[in-house]
Amino acid sequence: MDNPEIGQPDETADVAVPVTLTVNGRRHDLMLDPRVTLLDALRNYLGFTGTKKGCDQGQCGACTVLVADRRIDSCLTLAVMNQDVPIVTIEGLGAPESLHPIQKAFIEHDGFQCGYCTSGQIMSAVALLEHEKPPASDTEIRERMSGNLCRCGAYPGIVEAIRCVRDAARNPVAGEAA
Amino acid sequence: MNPFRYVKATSPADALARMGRNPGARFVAGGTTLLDLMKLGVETPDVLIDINHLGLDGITEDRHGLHIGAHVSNTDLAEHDSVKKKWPVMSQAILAGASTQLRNMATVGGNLLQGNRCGYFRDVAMPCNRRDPGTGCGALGEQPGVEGINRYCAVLGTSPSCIAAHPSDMCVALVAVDAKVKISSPAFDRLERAEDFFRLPGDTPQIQTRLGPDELITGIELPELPAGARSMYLKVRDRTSYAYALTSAAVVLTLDAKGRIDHARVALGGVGSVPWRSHEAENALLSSPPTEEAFRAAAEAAFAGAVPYQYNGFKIALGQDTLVRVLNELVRPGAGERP
Amino acid sequence: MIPKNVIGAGIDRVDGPLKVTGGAKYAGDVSLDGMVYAVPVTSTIARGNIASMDTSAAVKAPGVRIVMTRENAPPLFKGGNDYDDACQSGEDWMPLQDDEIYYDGQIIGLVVADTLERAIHAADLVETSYQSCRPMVDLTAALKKPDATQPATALGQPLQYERGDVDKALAKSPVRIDRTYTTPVQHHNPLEPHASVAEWSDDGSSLTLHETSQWVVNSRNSIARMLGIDQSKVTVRVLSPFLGGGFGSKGYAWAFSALTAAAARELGCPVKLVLSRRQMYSLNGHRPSTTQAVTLGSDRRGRLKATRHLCGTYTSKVFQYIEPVVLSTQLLYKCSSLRTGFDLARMNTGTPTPMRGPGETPGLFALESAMDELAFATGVDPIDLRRLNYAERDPRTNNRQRWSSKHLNECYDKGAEEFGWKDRPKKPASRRDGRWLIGYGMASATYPAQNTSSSVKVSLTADGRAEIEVASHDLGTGTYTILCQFAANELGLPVSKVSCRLADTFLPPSPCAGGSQTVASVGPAVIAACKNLLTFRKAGMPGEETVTIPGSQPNGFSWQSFGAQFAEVRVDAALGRIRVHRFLGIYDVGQIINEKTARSQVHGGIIQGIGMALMEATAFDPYFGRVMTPNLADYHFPVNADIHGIRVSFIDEPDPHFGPMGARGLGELPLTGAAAAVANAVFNATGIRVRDLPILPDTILAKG
Repeated sequence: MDNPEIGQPDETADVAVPVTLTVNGRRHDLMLDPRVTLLDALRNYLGFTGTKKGCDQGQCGACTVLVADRRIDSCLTLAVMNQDVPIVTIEGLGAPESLHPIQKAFIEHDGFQCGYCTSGQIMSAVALLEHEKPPASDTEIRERMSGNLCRCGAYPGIVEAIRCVRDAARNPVAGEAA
Repeated sequence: MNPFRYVKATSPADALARMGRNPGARFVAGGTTLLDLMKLGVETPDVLIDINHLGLDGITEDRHGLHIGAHVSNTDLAEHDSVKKKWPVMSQAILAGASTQLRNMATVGGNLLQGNRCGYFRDVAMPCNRRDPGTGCGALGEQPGVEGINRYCAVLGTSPSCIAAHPSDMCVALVAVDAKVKISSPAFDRLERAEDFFRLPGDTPQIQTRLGPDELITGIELPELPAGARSMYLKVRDRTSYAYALTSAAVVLTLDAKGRIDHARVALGGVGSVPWRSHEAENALLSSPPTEEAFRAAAEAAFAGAVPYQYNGFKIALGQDTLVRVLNELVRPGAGERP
Repeated sequence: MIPKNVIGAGIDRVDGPLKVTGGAKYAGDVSLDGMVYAVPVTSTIARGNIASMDTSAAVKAPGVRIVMTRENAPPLFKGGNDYDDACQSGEDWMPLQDDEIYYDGQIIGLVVADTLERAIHAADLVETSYQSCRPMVDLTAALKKPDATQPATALGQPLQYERGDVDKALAKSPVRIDRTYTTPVQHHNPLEPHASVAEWSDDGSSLTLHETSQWVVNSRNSIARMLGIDQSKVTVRVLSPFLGGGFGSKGYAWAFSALTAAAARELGCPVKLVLSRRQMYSLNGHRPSTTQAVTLGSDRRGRLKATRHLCGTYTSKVFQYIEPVVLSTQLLYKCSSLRTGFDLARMNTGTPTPMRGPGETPGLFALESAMDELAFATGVDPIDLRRLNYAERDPRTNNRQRWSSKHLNECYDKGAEEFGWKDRPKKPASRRDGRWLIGYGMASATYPAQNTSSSVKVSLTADGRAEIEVASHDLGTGTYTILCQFAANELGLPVSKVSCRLADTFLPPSPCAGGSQTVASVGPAVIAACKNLLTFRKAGMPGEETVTIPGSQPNGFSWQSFGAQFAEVRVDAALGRIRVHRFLGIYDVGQIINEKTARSQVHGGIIQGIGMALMEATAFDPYFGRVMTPNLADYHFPVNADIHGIRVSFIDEPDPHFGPMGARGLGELPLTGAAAAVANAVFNATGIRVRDLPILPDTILAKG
């Protein structure tokens, strides 16, 4: 077991290996083919289908999740590389009866149409507002949300939703009134 | 994706030892290039050696400059206070690339080995000498007069074997700040100038850098810029964000007491087979006053040896204008970078 | 409390909570017990024949359940080519039945394995050799080939059309604009890849398909036909409750769905197939490129005397799709002498298919650019030019038939006012802010209104809740919400007491969610069913009502929507950078049902128009015919940073002669004319007239 890579790799090399993922605060012990990306582990092995596959190449952001409070494209990393770190998906954010403020704002400002890129947009927005330097301007929001493509063109609503949540956090009283 | 075995290295020495035992192995750090190319079938390693846990994720500063671990993320380097203050060109170049998500994943070591973006390289069904030596260059085309889709290709440093452009933003800035790459092998450690790290395609386009098969990038060193240096990165692309460079320019400049240029580093992106240091432009700038004429002459010198192809000839004029714009902005800040 | 004015209000989407929590299940999210994964093997050449396929390595790979090629595929049949009978496939041909390669990325095999990773790898292990020929992927060359045709009609309208004497009128016109415009191949690129999950009952008597479909009734009929299923013996059910965008690419049925079902039948277990992003550039349609010669003749004041619009475009080798480019030219302006012509080439590409605003979108780029050129040539303000040539009645009827309602002049007025058109730089390249040149441009928008027969079932419970059931669709268009609003309004219920089930062929049938017809087709059926339930509602009794209503019958009016598009661009000419700084759209679409979803849908159309103007294009290798931009890093569409300053306004006057609500449909209109507005603004900013889309940095540099 010291050097498990020793030996001639062959077609049996796709044997599953133990992988432990901590998703939305819960630990999951899995046996996975090392080829399984974090995205496919979430979707196909853990049932977190809220995280979407749009391109599988890091070019659309639909698969954005938080790993150790940072937003990443989960399609370009292997599940086996993401053990021992907290992973948060859209399912860990809020439920229909207990929405996260950003989820509420996306509904109020209609920050989506088809909804397919929405989980990724919201995870990016959460990272932007809660784990990164808050954006100072709409231009900055737009630039820093540009890793999340939306073909329906919901960008104006997305920017509005993020701006409103940011402003409400800065000024809670006014935020509640609005 | 080919099946592979996955192992986690615990130290640089461990990583190198494992690599030594597995000629078909690849190191994986952020994964943003490697996993992409594995999905495309361009890379088919049989062992993946995870180098995310080697303790190479620190940034330290001393009187020589900044020492950056290979595993520092693009985001952390771009947002580092000293980088923003003293090497703004680095920060700007990194933030001009990809998206926040990808910058959070990508590492500076991995960025030095960023995969090529040429459509022929990335498509295993197409000819490409860089990927499969001897198959031809799809971007140059199969028959005379019918060139491939080469709008994104290079105009500097190309060869009959390969005309692909180097896609990186960060590496262009690394060349402009005289960065050095720290490399470890089982035998010894060495430093390579960023400018020398990348290899022109020549007739061996498959060999893209001077990193040996038994070597590992462990860090990058940013030397202090000359006192009073101004620096800037500017990128022109097909959309406002999240697109590769058509052209870019990274410049470091100082002016002497008489207002003449006494230090210039010019590196160009999107136009070269490698991150393109333009000694010609630097020579034209040295000792000149910072005038539009001097900038224009430097830009023309930079592209004097450029070779255009069917769809990318515009890069010569655009590359020149990009460089002139950066130079103007450095001496007259805010003259035009508004909307 | 019962909300007042539920029609027209900006009500939050009723499916919003599911969509923002990841709870909405799309086809590719479906997971079934014992399900295995299918991956298509696709051709790497664009024309020729398969010489051999070696599947031995794939068959032996771990976890592989079946490798299907022409050698062992079950017989499959051409899908239907009958739109009116809801049996419309994207290809008039079926893969795995012969050796011929018609286009790059064509399906030549199917690999099924127990995991996705294994299926993808095994598909790579299939080795195929070809006898290849040089493919035809150049439109100009293809139009000269003998297999190019001149189709007479599209959508029941004449493509080869003439009124008056165009040649004579042109000869007499003192001002003439005679230009050629081109538009590139565009891909729909919904964020959700096409997917199919197929499950058979144990006895083979029923097949359930979870599809990415804009038209489940068609998916059912077409896929059944491809599989050779007699629907009187086998029950086929298609579900598509949530759809991650379609834009036309999920309207026709595609072969991969039938292959998925065929594999599930062979293996006796559920099979899931999700296309890769690369495969989506070959297997599910695109907007074909066009070359359009537009000739306008006018008097010196800009009154149109003659219009000629000749379009060349193409279809694939396996389907006759006609992009109806010239139809809108026949009706947009009053012009007594007008000719349209249409040439259709055949190329070795995947089949083109309707994409948002088919026909009008490329067509109005050419016509509205030419109108801008005429305005410049005559010195007439572009808006005045359009007012001068205003079609008060339908020009196709010798200016006799009235429009059901038309407020295009109000769109121009309102738009000019809100946009500040009077401040437009009068001369090109005359205004700048630092290095950025500033220009204003405008264009008209138009798209026909239509509706089709739909059924619907509405149920009322004793506790005062209503449920709507219909096999219609919500692609992000707001159907769930809008139908609830109709029922709430009719029944006097709060929207929260109404629920809606969609996109299941076990529900009452409804037409394709395309052509901007869903609200106009399904809405009236909901209203009719609710009216029949009013007595139950008043008595507080449960009840249910299923109704089918016909589409609108000809009533002596022409049904057409209109709009005016305004763009302000900023151009950094030295670096070729273009930013759309502001965009304003004013639309006349009749009654607005939901101000919030309508606004969002229009934003999307405008943004796709900006993409069309500035960045979108699919490139084929000229020698190999291979798609060279088959991903979202090489095929650019706008990102968030590209978009600012978008404003939208509606005339919001119910159409008195179109359907019970006077709502004409909205989805396609805002994309038409948008690219022309941007291109016209670029001309105003720089003096550079771009006639070939997209307008890239190199375009500006080459002409600057």
